[in-house]
Amino acid sequence: MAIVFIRTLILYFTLLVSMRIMGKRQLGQMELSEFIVAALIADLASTPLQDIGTPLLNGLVPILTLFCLEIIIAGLSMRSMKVRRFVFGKPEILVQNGQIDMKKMHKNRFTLDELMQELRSHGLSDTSSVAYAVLETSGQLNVIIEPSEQPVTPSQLNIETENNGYSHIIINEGRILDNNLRLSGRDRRWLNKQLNAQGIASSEDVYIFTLSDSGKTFCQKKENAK
Amino acid sequence: MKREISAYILLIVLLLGSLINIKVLDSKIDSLRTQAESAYKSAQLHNYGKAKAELLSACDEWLGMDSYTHIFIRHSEIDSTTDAFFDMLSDIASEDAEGADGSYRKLDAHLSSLMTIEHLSFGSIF
Repeated sequence: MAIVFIRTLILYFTLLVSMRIMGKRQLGQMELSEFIVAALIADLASTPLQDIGTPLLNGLVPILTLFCLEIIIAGLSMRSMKVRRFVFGKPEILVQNGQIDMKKMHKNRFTLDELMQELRSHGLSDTSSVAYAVLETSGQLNVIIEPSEQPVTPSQLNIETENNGYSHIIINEGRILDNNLRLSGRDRRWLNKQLNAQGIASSEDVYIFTLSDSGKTFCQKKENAK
Repeated sequence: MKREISAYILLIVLLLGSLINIKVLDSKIDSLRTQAESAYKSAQLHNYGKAKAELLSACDEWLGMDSYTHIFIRHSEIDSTTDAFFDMLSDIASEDAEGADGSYRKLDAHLSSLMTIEHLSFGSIF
C-alpha cells in the first residue's frame, strides 16, 4: 500500500512538472502531437501505479522520453514551417463566400451535420452569411461572418467608447495582493480609504476587489461579512 | 531553446542509461550463467558438493543484486528466476543428476530471457 502511495506521488509530480513545462496549451487546445502525448502519458502512468510488480522506471522512462520529444517537436515546429506543416498539418478553408468546399470536407472527414452544428454554435443557420469557415489544426472550426452580416461596432457609428484597461485583482477572498497593488501604482493607505468609503472595516470582509488601469474599482463583500 | 537543449540532453542520458543498463545486465547475467553451467557440469560428474557450492555462490550473487533487479526487472521475472535457482539447488542437494539437467536448462532459459528482453533487436522491439 505504501509503495502504491509513494509511486502515485512520484508519478503525479513527474506528470505535473512535465505538463507544466510543456505549456498551458496542453490543457485547452491540443494539437495532434500533444493529444498523442496526453493519451499515452495517461496510460503509461496508470500501469506502474496499479501493478507494483512493474518497476516504476518502466513508467517514468517512457513518460520522460515523450516529454522530451514533445519539447523538441514543439521547438522545431516553432522554427521550421515544414516541420510545423508535417506535425500539425495546415488550416483548411471549408466554406468560402458561402460555398462549401466538398473536397476539403471529404478530405478532413468533416460531415455536413458537423458543419451545421458548428455554424449553429456561432449563431448561424446556414452558410450564406459565412465569409470563411476555417478548420484549424487543433480541430476547431472558426467562422468569419460576411462583413455585411457582422454586428455594427461603435467605431462604425463613430461612437466614443471608454477603455477601462486591464483590471487587477487587489483583494482575493480577503487577501490583499500587494504585488498587484504596487503594479497599479497604489498602496495600502489608498486601499483602506477605498474600503472605508464603502463602509468596509477590514480587507478580510472583501470577497473581490478589482482596480482597472483607468482607476475604476469594483468591490464585492463576502456573504458572511459584518 | 534552453528547454530544447535540456530535452536533447535528457533524451541522450536516457538512451545512454538504457545502453549502459544492457551492458551491466549482460555482465551480471553472464557471470551467473557461467557459475550455473559450472555447477551443472559438476553435478553431471556427480561432484554434488562442488556443484552445490558453485550454485549457492551464484544464488547469493543473484539475491545480492536485489536492489538492482527490483528497479530494472519485472518482479514476476525476478521471482521465476529465483524459483529456478532453488529448483536446481534442490535437485543438486538430493543428488539427482537427471533432475539437475532439467532444472539447469530452466534456470539458463530464465537467465538468458532476462538478457534477450533488454537487448535491442528486431524481435525484442516488435
